[in-house]
Amino acid sequence: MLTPPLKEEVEISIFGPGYGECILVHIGFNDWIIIDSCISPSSKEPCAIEYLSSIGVPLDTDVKLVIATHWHDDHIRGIGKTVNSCSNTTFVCSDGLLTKEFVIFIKAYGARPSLTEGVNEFDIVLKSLETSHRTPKYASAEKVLWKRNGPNGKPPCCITALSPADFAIHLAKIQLKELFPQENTTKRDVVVPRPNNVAVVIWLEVGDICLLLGSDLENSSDKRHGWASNSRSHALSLKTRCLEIYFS
Amino acid sequence: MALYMDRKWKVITNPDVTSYGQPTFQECGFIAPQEEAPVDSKINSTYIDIDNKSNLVQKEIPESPIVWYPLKHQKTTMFTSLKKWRGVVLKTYKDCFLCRLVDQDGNSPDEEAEILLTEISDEDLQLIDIGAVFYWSIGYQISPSGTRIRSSIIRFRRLPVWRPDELFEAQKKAEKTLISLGIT
Repeated sequence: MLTPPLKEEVEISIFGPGYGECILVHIGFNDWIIIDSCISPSSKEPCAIEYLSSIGVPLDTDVKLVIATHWHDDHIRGIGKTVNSCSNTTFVCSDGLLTKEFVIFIKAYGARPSLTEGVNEFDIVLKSLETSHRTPKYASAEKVLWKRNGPNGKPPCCITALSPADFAIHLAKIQLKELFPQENTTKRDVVVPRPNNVAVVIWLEVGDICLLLGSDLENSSDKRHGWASNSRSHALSLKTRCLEIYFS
Repeated sequence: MALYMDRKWKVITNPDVTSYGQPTFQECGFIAPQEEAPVDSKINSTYIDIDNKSNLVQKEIPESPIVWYPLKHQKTTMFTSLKKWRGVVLKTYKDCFLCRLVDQDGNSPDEEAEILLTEISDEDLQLIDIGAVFYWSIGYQISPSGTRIRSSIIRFRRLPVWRPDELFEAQKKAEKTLISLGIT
């Protein structure tokens, strides 16, 4: 029997068959954040949604953000259904991802859902956003994604993206243009470009508790993108109680 | 045809079950020679003790001596899958390729593997390219005679080309979405 966290409790739940492909954070006072998604092998439902439903959390009011940190199949399985279920929630993705080229690309591949599951998930997300008249929020370095000021005794909470950096976004746009299929070429699955320049690193502060969610951001010798470009070390030096979670 | 065991029985065949006009011994029973007809009334219920000729009495028995073997229609080799992955080629090398494998049961995380080209059948070799999709099944083959052989099968998916109208349609749909989501 699963029990919900206490009102003032910060709870971090990690789901997935491997490294923790989906992270669910209760930031206190019935506010929840879903980061990435994976599917439960038994129910075939998104793990975060299944858990929240089992403890009676109303998805459309209590889930504040659904964040897709990066475009790898194992981190976005079921994210379409997650966005659909959380019908009032803000959807966040990397600034380098939802470009005009990528949307055309999604629509081309989305017509063939059996071909590329990752692209198909994004197609479901876009359809859900269109239907519910929501616009996505784009994450980039140092951008505040969500904030709770802490009235009525609630601890303040701030969720900030630490990546991608501007240069990484520029590189990602070039990479995505190259992926667009050409006429009369054989249909193939989409191979996500490497290195992953546009993964979203999340810095989450609740009261004096800090979480660094490392996403799939890669190291690079070029200081204009990757870990070298973000302010992680600066942020860590400021805080004493910090939990780092990396996943790939 | 008579069989001699502890008692004498005659082999009878189920008239409905024949293979190319020949009696099939996979569905047959044994019954005493004196009791050939009607067949149906004898099967699974009684037998005649032919050694006790002075008193041919049908006796109830707890278990029928007629042994019915399951009829097997398998005429070709069957494959039973134990584990199945969907694979995508990520990079090709001279003698192998790097791929991402997705467990079709969803019980294990995605993995990357290098597969030797010698594992691939000749007709699939030309399909190996970045993004090519294949299915890898590990299981066992069962031959018509019942022999089991552990096997690994890799089959590449054959896909058509992108048609100009498909890409045009995608652009039209994308424009609508871009306006709706406020993407410029």
